Amino acid sequence: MKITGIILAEGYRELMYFKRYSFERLSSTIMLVFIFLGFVYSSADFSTGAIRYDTNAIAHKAVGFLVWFFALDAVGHLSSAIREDMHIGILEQIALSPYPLIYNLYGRSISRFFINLSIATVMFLLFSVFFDLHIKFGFSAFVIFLLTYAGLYGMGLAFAGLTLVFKRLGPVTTIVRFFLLIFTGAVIPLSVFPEFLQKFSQFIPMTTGLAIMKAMIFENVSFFSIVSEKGFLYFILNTAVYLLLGIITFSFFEKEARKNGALGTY
Amino acid sequence: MLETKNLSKHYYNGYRQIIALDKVSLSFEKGKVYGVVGHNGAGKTTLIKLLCGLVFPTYGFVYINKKSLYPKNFELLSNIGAILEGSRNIFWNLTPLQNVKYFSMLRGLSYKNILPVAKSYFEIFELEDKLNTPVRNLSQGMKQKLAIIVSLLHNPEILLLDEPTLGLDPNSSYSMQKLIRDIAVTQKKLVIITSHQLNLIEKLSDELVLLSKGSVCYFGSIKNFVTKKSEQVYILTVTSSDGKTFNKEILKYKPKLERIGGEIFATIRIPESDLDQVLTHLVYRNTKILNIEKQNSSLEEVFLKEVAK
Repeated sequence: MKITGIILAEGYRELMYFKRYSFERLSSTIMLVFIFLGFVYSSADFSTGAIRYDTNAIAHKAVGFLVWFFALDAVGHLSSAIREDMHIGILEQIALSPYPLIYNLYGRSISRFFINLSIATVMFLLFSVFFDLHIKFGFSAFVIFLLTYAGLYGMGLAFAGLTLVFKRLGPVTTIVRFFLLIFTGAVIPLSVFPEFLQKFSQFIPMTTGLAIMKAMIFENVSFFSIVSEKGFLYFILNTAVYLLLGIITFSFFEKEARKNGALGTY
Repeated sequence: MLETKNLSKHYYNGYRQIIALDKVSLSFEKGKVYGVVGHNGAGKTTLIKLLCGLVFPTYGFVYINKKSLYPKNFELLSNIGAILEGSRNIFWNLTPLQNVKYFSMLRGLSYKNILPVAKSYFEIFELEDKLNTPVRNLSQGMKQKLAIIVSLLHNPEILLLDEPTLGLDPNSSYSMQKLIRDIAVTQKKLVIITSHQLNLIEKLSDELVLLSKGSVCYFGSIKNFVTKKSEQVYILTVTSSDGKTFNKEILKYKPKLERIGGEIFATIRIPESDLDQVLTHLVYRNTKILNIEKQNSSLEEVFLKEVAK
């Protein structure tokens, strides 16, 4: 019951923050839209003097970009949230709760997920209208998306744990975020990269998940035929390993921070 | 109620070991206020943080209602409310009511049930007209009051207050002191306070924990500490028309001298050990003794003397 309370409390705080800093969120969303437009127009054909682009390629990019939009938050938000709490000095008061800090992060993530879902829906509609895209995002693709998100969330938990002890990880999470944008097949096809990079990319939770989602959306591959493939098992294992590693890393560093009295320092 | 056994915290700065707290064994009872004093770096804040699980001990134990808090019995923390010095304790971007809502949910309480309790505290602290003002727009004193209210929401048995009156105006400080005594005496809770304001500790606390370099120098009744450790002094008010009365024998006590008409009035502060000698000198010089008053040292005076040792 109390765990539900923590999740609700953090969800409430996230909503209040969203309300208070809605202008910041709006501007960062507009910035993301511009980044997407940059990707689209940089690959458009201007040789005839008019803009010509491949709608199918844009649709692939839009799906990849929207998944990356969630990855952006899953990987970096928890770390920056912990850093902010330490910076303003509230983390110790929150840590007085009878439960480990990780429950607070669960709460923040759940609430943040729904906020992002509504922003992503608006972006999705904008892209669809602007570029005349017809993307059918079915329930099975949504399940794959949730699993992909869980793996990315594991990365985010690990970074949040490291932040408890090493305090400033902003540049590291930014590198990882852009790595996810470029090297997972989100907006640039994986096939254009050297083979070692393609192989390395398979270890990232987003790469396989995104490939499965795109197959479901654009090639009408059914959920059951995906499940029966070996690649799906790898995807599940990959997600589980990342999530588990994230939980273990966060718990380890929370303990370290309490040992070193680092919760109250920044 | 709350007990520590050999509670120790060591930090490492490279290869250098820093002993923040060393083998501290204390026993706290319900219904009393305990004042923890010590100079900077004595281990006061470390002790408070160890008592509420924010810092893990290097070794030693904390028992809450005879159950050990460490290594993993954190559900016991629901018995504790704390205000931490140097921390924000509350969200400045939220309003007092939003803070109450957040912290009540965080502790698994129903906001609906907690609201009347919170409102009664808002009334006591005269914050009832600030319920929807963002905390960042409140004064330092109001923020501190709100922090106390939030720490009391879950009705904890133990209240840990690290510098609770810091930044409060005299009125707020007085209402805070009244509330702290009330929490301990009427509501039968255990209150542990740290403060550099020794007069506040003396006024509020029943028991004293004196820390120095991470070790406990004294643990027990404040009255006993002051009586035992203080040197009793006598304040003598005398008058004489003969200026020679106040020679170097008397001047060494740095008396306050005042000439009114032909008379010299003096107020002299004399340690008990010198009283006989000084009285003999004054009587021999035909000095008129107007008043003799026995006075105990204050906690502050005794503390300064003990720390100097």
